[in-house]
Amino acid sequence: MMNLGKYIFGFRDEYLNKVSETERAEQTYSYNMLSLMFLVLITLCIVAGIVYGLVIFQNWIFAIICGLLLGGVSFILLLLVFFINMTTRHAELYQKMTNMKEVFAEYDDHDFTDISDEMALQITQQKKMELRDRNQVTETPKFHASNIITTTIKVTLVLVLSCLIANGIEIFMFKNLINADIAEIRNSETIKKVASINNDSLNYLEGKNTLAKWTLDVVTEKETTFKMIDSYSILLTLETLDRGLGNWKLLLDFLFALLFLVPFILVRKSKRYSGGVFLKEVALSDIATSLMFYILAQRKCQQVKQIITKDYMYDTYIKVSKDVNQG
Amino acid sequence: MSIKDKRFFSASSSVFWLILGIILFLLLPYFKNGFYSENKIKEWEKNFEQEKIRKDSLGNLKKGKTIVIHWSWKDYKKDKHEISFSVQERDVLNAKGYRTRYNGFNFIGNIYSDFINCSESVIDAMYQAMNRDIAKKKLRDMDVLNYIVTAIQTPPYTKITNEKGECPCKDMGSNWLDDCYPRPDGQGCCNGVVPSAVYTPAEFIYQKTGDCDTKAILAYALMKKFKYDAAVLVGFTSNSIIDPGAHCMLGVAGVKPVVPGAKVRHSGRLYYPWEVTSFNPTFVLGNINMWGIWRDWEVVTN
Repeated sequence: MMNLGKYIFGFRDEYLNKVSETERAEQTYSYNMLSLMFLVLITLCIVAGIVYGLVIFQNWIFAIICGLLLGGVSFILLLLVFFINMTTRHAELYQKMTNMKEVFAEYDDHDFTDISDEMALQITQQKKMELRDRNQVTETPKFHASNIITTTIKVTLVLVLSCLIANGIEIFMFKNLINADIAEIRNSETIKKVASINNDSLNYLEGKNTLAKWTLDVVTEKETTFKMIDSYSILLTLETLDRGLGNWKLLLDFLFALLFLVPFILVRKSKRYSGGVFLKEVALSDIATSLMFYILAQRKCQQVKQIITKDYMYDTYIKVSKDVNQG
Repeated sequence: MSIKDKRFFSASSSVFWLILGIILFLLLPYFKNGFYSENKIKEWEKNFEQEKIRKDSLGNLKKGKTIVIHWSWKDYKKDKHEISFSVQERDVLNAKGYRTRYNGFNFIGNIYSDFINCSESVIDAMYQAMNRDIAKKKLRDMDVLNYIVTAIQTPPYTKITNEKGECPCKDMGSNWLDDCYPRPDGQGCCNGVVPSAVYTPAEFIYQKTGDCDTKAILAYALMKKFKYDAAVLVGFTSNSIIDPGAHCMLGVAGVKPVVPGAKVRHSGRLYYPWEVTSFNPTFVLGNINMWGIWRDWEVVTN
């Protein structure tokens, strides 16, 4: 099975060396599924970006740049939302990972002066195994008032993105019908008549006159070939789309919102992710790496301290080493 | 992993792929007409159609005909009222003629009284219709007062000017259109109404275009017919949008005000002001809170 999760979420096989074959397969499937959903969403974002680019610039190169830009921004934002929600439900691991002082405190009195790198690795591995054995059961995360704010921000971000993408894809879906409506607007005698009125200040036609002129300005010239939509204006295109679709637009927007929210809900609520062995192993690995570097740092500290104690007299600040005096 | 969680995972994944399937299906060039209505854009185009400008709705009147006037409104309790009454076109035209020939250099209180007198038959027709309706509905006390005033408040405000060609204009923080009609958006404006930019009650009853004094004098005339101690009050008001300017309100004495506050003393009687310019649930007897400044008020007709 291709490991798509590796490229998006860093789902490496090495993390799952200690787990059963069934669990490994299940985790691989879950992260592959999530990565696939993520890629689908990013593809939709790129397509929407191209559509917006084509309407604004009527040029394929600029449209593709727009698509890549929107795709890139969406990639970062969605990944951020996914990662923020990927917290392990193994409470002790989560606690230790976010506050490593507890782990380090256990080694405060140890003498690491003569310890080798291999021995440091062994201590780390032992701690890792101990934590792995002790954390077999997952716990539902405790509710905190701040969760409301963070969840609201995350959901709003996803919904804003979904709304943006929904409009772009809907324009693409109904482009022919929108173009037919825009042709109707271009040929409308009523609009042309209102637009042709000059010196209409302070009359009730004031607003209509401006809107009519603007409308005729933003539809492309009759002879011009257009790339996708027969207008330079996203606003006019959306107005036409909105009027044409009516309540169906609400339904389509809702479907897009759901499409963007499902992976988010999945990551947050399914135990395959937050209670899964991958996040547990990632947390263990993180703790082990931090502990390893703590031990190495402590070793260096203790060695330096030993040299200082031997070579310096703290009371007098006088150097007593003959070697140095002779030098 | 629990069965519940497996089900949740499968259901969520299925929803995602199902929605994606629907979206991809809609990308196909079929079935789209069912979702998209091309007629809607034609409705939008209609917004650009030019409206007919109504310079003078009395222009079509002919002497000798009887016309039926309908008046419907809701009072402060949101109870709906509706009356219909007949007036002679001749009477309306006579009132208009009386106004246009009137000597403008007169005390404003006298102008109001004279305009009420020249509209007597039309006001009486409206009073009779209201009286029948009030009796039928068995309204009493304050309900009768509210009934009369809300009827006058309900037609949208129309700006009245005595100079020709003054509409359209920008004044009092609003745009006034060259349209002498009680427009629902409240932007109607009537040009060249002499003297003193006030219509006679007969003209107001017929075309329902009026500003503060046009409305106040009809409300006053109806109150008098219902035997209330009423008056036409004139003074200065202002809010944050408009500069202090002359304003006209209805005054009622001998009745406890709903919002106690301002009052005008005249011949030993206390008249409480009542804003009749437009309908608003807070524009009740005694309330002048819609005005930041309220000064130099006096009774001009009672």
